[in-house]
Amino acid sequence: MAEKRTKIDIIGDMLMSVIDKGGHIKPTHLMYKSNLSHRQMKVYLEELLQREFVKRTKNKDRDYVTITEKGHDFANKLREIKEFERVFGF
Amino acid sequence: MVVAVPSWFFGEDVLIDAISIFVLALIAYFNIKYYKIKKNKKSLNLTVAFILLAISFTLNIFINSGVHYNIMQMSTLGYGKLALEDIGSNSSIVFITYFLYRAVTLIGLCFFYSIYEKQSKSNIFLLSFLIISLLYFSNSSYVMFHLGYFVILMLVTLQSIRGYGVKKYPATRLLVFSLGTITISQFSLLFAALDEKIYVAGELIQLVGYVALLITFIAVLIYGRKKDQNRYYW
Repeated sequence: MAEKRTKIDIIGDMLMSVIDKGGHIKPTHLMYKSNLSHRQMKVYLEELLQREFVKRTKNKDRDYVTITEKGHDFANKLREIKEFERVFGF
Repeated sequence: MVVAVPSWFFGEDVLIDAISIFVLALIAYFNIKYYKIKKNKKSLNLTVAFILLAISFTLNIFINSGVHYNIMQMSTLGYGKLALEDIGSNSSIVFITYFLYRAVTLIGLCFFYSIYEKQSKSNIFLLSFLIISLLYFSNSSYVMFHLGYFVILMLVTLQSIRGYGVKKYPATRLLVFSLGTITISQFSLLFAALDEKIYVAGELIQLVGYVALLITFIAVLIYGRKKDQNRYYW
C-alpha cells in the first residue's frame, strides 16, 4: 500500500505537474495530474499562491496557473531532497 | 598502548582529518536545509550523526596536534621512529579530550546506524550499553574503540549495499564505495600499533573514502537538479 503523501509531497507533485506542462496549466488539469480532490485542490492551490510559488494568469479568457521563479527554485530544492533520500536510502 | 606514527606523516594526518571534517560539515549543512523543508526524522538523524563525527575529527586533530608537538620537543630515537605517548598517563586534558573523541564518535556512528534501522527502546538501551562498554574498555585498549567503529560502520555499509541492491541508483553505488572504503580504513587502524606504515595506509584509505563521499554528494546535487530523473550518465 502506498504511503500517505505529506503536505510537502503534494506541493511538490503540484509544482512538477505545472513544470511538466511547460509552466502553465489549467486548474482542472492540475487537479487531475496531482491526484487531488476538488476540496484539496482549493486548499493547496491557495497555499501555493500564498507562498508565491505560482500565480493566476489568463490566456484567451481562460484561467491558468503559472509557476513563478520562486516556485521553480522550490521545485529544484525538492528534487535535490528526493535524490538525496534515494541515494542514502531513507 | 603505543601507536607508531612516522615523523614525516606529522601534519598529514591532521590535514586528512580536516578534509573529513569539511565533507561531513558540508553534507550536514545541506541536510539541515532539507530537514527544514521536509521534516524527515532520518534527515535529522543524519545531520546529528555527521555533526558529531565532524566534532570527533576536530577533537582528534587537537589530540594529534598536541601529541605531535610534544614529541617534536623530545629527542628522536636512533632509527627515526617516534611513538605516541601512552594516552592518559600524563596529561588530564589529553585524557579528557581523547575520552570525548571516542564518546562523540561512537554516539555519532549510532545515529548514523539508526537511519537505516528504526530503534526500539530496548535497542536504544542496548546501543547505550555498547557505547559505555566500548568507552570503558577502550580506555586501556585502543583496539576496542576501532573495533567498535569498524563494526558499526560495517553494518551501515551493509545497509547501503542492501539499498543499492533494491534500487540500483549509480550514486548509491558511489555511496557504498565511500562507506566501504572508510570501513576498511578503520579495519587497518586496528593494526596500526604493529607498524607505522599500517597507520599511514589507514589514514590514506580514510582520505579516499571521504573524497568519494564528497563526490557522492556532488552527484546528488547534480542529478537532483536534472529534470529527467531517469537519465543517468555513469
